[in-house]
Amino acid sequence: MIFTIIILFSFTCWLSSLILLRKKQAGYLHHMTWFLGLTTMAELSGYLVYFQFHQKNNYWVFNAFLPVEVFFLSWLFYKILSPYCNCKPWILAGLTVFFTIYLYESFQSSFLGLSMNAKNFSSVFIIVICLSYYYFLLKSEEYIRLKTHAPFWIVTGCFFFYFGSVTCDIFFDHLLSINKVTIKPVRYVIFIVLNFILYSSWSYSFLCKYRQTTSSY
Amino acid sequence: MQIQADNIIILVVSITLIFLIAGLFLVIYVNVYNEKKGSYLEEKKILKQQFERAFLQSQLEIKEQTLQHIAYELHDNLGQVASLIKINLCTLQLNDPAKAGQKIEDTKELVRQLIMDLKTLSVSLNSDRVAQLGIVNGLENEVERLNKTGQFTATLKQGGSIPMLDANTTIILFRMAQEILNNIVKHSGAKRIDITLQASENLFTLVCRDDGVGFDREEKIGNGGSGLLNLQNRAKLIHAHLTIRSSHENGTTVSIELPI
Repeated sequence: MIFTIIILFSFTCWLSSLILLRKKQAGYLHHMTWFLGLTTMAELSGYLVYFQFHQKNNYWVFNAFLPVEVFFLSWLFYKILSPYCNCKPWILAGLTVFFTIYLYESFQSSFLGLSMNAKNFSSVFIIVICLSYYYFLLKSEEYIRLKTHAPFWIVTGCFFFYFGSVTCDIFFDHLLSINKVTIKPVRYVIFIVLNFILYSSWSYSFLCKYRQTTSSY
Repeated sequence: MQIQADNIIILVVSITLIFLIAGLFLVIYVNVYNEKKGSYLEEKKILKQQFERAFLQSQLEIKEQTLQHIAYELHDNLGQVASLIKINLCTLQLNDPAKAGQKIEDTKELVRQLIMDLKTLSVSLNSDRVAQLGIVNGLENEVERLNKTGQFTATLKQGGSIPMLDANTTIILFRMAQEILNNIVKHSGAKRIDITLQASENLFTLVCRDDGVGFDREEKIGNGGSGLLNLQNRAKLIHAHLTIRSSHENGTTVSIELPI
């Protein structure tokens, strides 16, 4: 099998971004195209390293991609939150802490392991940003039709993904050892569901943005 | 070991499900709150549009009444004075200097009165002027105009420090007072009209009392008395409370209470 289900989700979302997010009209969302391309490549690389090249450790692939993921999502949330507040200092502070933890852990494991503490911190950081977005949305006096509001669906997808993955990340080592012994890929199944929620929300947000830009003509 | 592994799996799956359900509730709450906010803003917009329509309607009615007022003043007041001037000039006996001199003096007095009345009418019609002068000066002019007719004894009393109201409120309040006075002149048969302005910390009150024949309010409205309805609508526009008490024995008292 060339693709796993998660790679398929990622690729489909990337494809939808290529079709629906054209440069000028999509604004800052256009940059999600290259990010999703990189994500798909990272997922594919991880799969190929583990299954095709029979290397037992493909963590370094995801570890290398982790800063890209966190940096891009921080920039994306900065763009989404800037109409509501000046979040730049908070996001920069969060990124600084993340990179500090990430570099420390990566050097400890010689960049071969997965920086779990950095990953956990980034998950909490992104969850807090998502909750801040909901807070500003509730506080705002302006009415926004959320069903067709692209930023809302982007944030919601991220929120469900990172909020749902917290437990798996905390019990990462336990689940890994359980899978080795009993072949119960619990983490994999949970992440299939979470990735489905994430990529389908994002694809829907691209559709909303596309409809918004085409209906304005 | 197997049991511990199963326990961990159950724990992880359960907590993940709980987190997802909690997240779902949060997103649903945000949606519902947002929809309610949308409904509220929509309602507010509709109310604002209704208010603007009513205000515009009221402005048109005020203009219409102003034109009627002009016609009335020109015919019954200014027209009469002009007629007297004409009669005086036509009956001027130049061969009798003494009598002619007296007639010329009388005619000069009539012309002076005509000019004053025109100025007063002009001030009372000019809404910008009314807003600039304020409600007190506007009503003083109206009282003076009524007293000049010789048919009424009109008084204006003030209590407390009368605040300077905004232009729209001043104009609407003044036009309401004008309409009340016009109704008294046309229908009441009154001889005495007392206007009282009272201001306290939170409330401004305008009371107009006459000693006329009074009227049945319910009967008036039932017969399509649009004048009373207009007064009520205008009171609502400026968030004032209108009270009318009327009887055959005690005349009519109209009071307008405006929160400030």
